[in-house]
Amino acid sequence: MKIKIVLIVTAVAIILIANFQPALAGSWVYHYSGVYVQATSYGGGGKRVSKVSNALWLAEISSITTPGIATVPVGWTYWTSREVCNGSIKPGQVIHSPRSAPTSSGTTYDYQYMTTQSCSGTRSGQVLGKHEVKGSKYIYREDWTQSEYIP
Amino acid sequence: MFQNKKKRVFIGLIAILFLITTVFYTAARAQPINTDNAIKLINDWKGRNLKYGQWTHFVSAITSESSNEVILPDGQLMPSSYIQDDWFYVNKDGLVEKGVFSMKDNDGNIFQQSAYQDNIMINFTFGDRQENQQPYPLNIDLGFGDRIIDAVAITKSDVEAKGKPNIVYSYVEKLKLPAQLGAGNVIVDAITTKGYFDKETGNFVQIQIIWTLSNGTNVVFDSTEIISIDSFSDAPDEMLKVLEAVK
Repeated sequence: MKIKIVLIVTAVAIILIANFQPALAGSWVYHYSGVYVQATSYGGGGKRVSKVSNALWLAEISSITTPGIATVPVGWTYWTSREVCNGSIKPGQVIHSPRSAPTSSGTTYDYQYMTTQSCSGTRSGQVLGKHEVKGSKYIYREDWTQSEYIP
Repeated sequence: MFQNKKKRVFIGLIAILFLITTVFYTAARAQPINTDNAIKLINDWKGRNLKYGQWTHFVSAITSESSNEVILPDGQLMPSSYIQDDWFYVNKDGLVEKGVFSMKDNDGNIFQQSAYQDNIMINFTFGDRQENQQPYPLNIDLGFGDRIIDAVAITKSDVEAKGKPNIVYSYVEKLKLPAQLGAGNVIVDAITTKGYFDKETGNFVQIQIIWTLSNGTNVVFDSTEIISIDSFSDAPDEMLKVLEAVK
């Protein structure tokens, strides 16, 4: 039985290593509440734009409590991913649903793969969104845009 | 009992070896095909059309079949088919130093306009302003060369487009896992980029980005046809006036 488990785990590991390559990651950018939202935890939000391949880029968003509190609703009132070429918004923007709920880790996360479009000049991926962390002491809300150049 | 256990271990090991062989054989058999011809065609065409120290007027027609969720400030949905009418000043180093970029509907009405000067990019339609934007290269091939330069496999075919013989170079990117893409969250298995060249003149005429859905259907996500590329020593007064607003 033990051998069987080892064999399955090994096989799964081989498949995972062979088939999944990490994205060429951009960096997460976080903003924080500056005051405690509940107990001694801050609220915050993170966004990231990263190139996955020549055809795809990845938009990610996260809302957090730090240190994590399971009872605080974390989320966003909206978030959007879109591509900009020479300063103009291209078609293909994706608008996502609002979210607000406590989680066991005190954080929540969402993502969207985006098709890299044709562009004659400078191309950026953008993640827009208003983070919302509803603590009992303070509600952290911040609307900001993370914009990064996509080669 | 001991024999049975030994047998199971042996079968397990064979299964792992089979998996390793399959995975590495699959990776190894994809032989790269030389992209030099396509890259040379692009570079020759760029050399004929891209002039440094001048204004480039670049007009293209874009059509997209994918769902679109961009709402313009007047409440209207942004058209999925439109004309991109751009003026770029390309400096002596080959970098765009300033420019005016207009999206027009099929009747010629501007529905989105941006401009760039002194490292500032402003989208006048949405009121967005980005600072510290460094001068950048003008990709009159709409990024096709960059997309195929490290392609694992590229194919070449002859087609007829708008009554003219074309050479088409295609690059298929098979996604590692099917991905949900676009506002419609369709499941996409692969993305193909096609570059069309006029067979007689060698001119680059069109780029297409095509989704292959999980049911095998192809959807043209983005198709951009080059209408004209012209060089001028000066930009029209109308464009210079727009640039004055970039502060």
